[in-house]
Amino acid sequence: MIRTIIIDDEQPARDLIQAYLKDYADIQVIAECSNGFEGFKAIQEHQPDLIFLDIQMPKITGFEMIELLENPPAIIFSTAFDQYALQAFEKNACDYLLKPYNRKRMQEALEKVRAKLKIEAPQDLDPLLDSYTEAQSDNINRLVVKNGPNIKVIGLHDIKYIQADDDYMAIFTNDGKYLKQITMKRLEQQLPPARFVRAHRSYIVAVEGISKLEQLDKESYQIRLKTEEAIPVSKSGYQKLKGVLQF
Amino acid sequence: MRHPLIGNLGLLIYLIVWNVIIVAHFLVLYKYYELPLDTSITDALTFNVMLCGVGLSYWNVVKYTHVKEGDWQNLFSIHLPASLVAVGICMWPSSIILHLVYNQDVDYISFLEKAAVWRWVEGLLIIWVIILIYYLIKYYDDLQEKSKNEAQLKQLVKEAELDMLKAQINPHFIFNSLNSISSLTITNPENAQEMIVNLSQFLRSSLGKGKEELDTLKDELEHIMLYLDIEKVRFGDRLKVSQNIPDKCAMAKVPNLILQPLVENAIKYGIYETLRGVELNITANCKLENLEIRISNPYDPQGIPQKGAGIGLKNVESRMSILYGKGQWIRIERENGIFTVTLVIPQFENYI
Repeated sequence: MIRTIIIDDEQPARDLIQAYLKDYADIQVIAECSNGFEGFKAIQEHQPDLIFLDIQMPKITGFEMIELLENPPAIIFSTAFDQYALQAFEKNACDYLLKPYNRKRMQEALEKVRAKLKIEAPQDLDPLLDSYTEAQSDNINRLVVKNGPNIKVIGLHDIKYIQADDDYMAIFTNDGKYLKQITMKRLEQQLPPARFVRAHRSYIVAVEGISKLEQLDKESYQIRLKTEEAIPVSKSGYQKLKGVLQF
Repeated sequence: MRHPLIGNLGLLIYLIVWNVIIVAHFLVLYKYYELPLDTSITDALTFNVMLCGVGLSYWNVVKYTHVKEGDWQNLFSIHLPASLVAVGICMWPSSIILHLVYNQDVDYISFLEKAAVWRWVEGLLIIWVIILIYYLIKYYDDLQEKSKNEAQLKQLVKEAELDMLKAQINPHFIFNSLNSISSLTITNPENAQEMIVNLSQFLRSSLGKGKEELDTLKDELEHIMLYLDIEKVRFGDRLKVSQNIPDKCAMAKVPNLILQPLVENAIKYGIYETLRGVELNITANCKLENLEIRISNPYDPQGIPQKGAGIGLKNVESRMSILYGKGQWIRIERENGIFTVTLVIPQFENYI
């Protein structure tokens, strides 16, 4: 049995997937969710083998949701999402259904999933998320993180700085510290370069919060934030700061 | 515009023609008037070489005088004195030189003085032919430039129209609607049929618009309601719409499809940034000189949109200022969790 969850905010879209899936005896739909919050909870609770996922949904997008998953199930995107993102799907482990789609297309997607579930290799979503980040021409306005069992949406304006912490990034905001499982590289790519600077191998700093640049000795500096924290600055970080702060 | 004769084959042809003129001039003096060989050569060279140079530089007169097409009077009043000056510039020095060189030759000096009138005539005729050639070249170049510019302009207009169409109909909306229809054909064929009709009507009226810049409020609202009916099928209970439009406002004029981006914006923030759903409220208020339309929707003050402020509102704003000049045509208020956009549309005709 392939245990499946459908996550789409539109009732007719969910109905259609249900109707198509009736053709398959080995697929069991265990939950339907209408937004990313519900979807995240349902996945944590049921640990499904497969999810059907829309991208544009209330509160958090499908992509923001899968970023939070530690052991993501097989994913079939079901979306009317803009063309450019499709290349990202094609290259990666997931399949996608471009709305509207027919039964034949659904069958093809399911065959791919069955083949993948047999191998039972852990899913690596990184390449997909990387290419998605690349395809996002506009910079984002928020980060979505796990906060215990809940989801927290952080506005970029609340972020003071970000510090690498093993496999996690520690995001320091005005109301505390949040951990997000993401690479420094992708995070740096997501953040608008005018507002965030990679000051050090392990640090990204919000430009707005910088109070001053302090010289430690001949060629080493550190940032002093308006909230008093000190952030180390590397040589290349110093050059980047020069560019953004224009001194 | 660069000199049409310099830097290409033109100069060569120009010099060859001058050579012919000089040779003809020489032959007339040498054979017909039976002047000595050296005198004939010197006479032919001094005047014509100068005129050749002046003719080249006359381009600047053509280049820097801007005469409207067909304004012959103005054309003559410029080029008659200018050509006289040009020929005079050659006459004087050449006659001084010839006088100085041949002051011993009494016959020649007297010939020189008698022939002055003919020299003027010859010089003027040549200069006028040169002017004519310059104008023909200039006219041809202008024509080419014009057709190039026109082609460019046409391209720009076409692109703008295309952009407008793209802005009108969001592909995301169309494909999601088609998916809803696909679903309804299984679960509720009756509703599927109705939605196909709605979508067709919406597309037809979207495509038909754009010819006329202005539309009546009544027609615009009908269009918007079609759109909202389709969205209601997609979003179900999450989208509710109420409207309060006084009858007397129905014939007020609005820029066509101006409400579309505002309603899309309201749905986007209402539907995608809250979990509760959205109640969209459209009201109008009209006076003689302007019409006020308000579109409001609840929003989550703590919510953070995935991306920055939408360009929908900005587009409406810039379109309004193209149509009505700079002004405060659009107001945005956020109060008690209600987001309200107010659009003020000037009215120029008595419509009530």
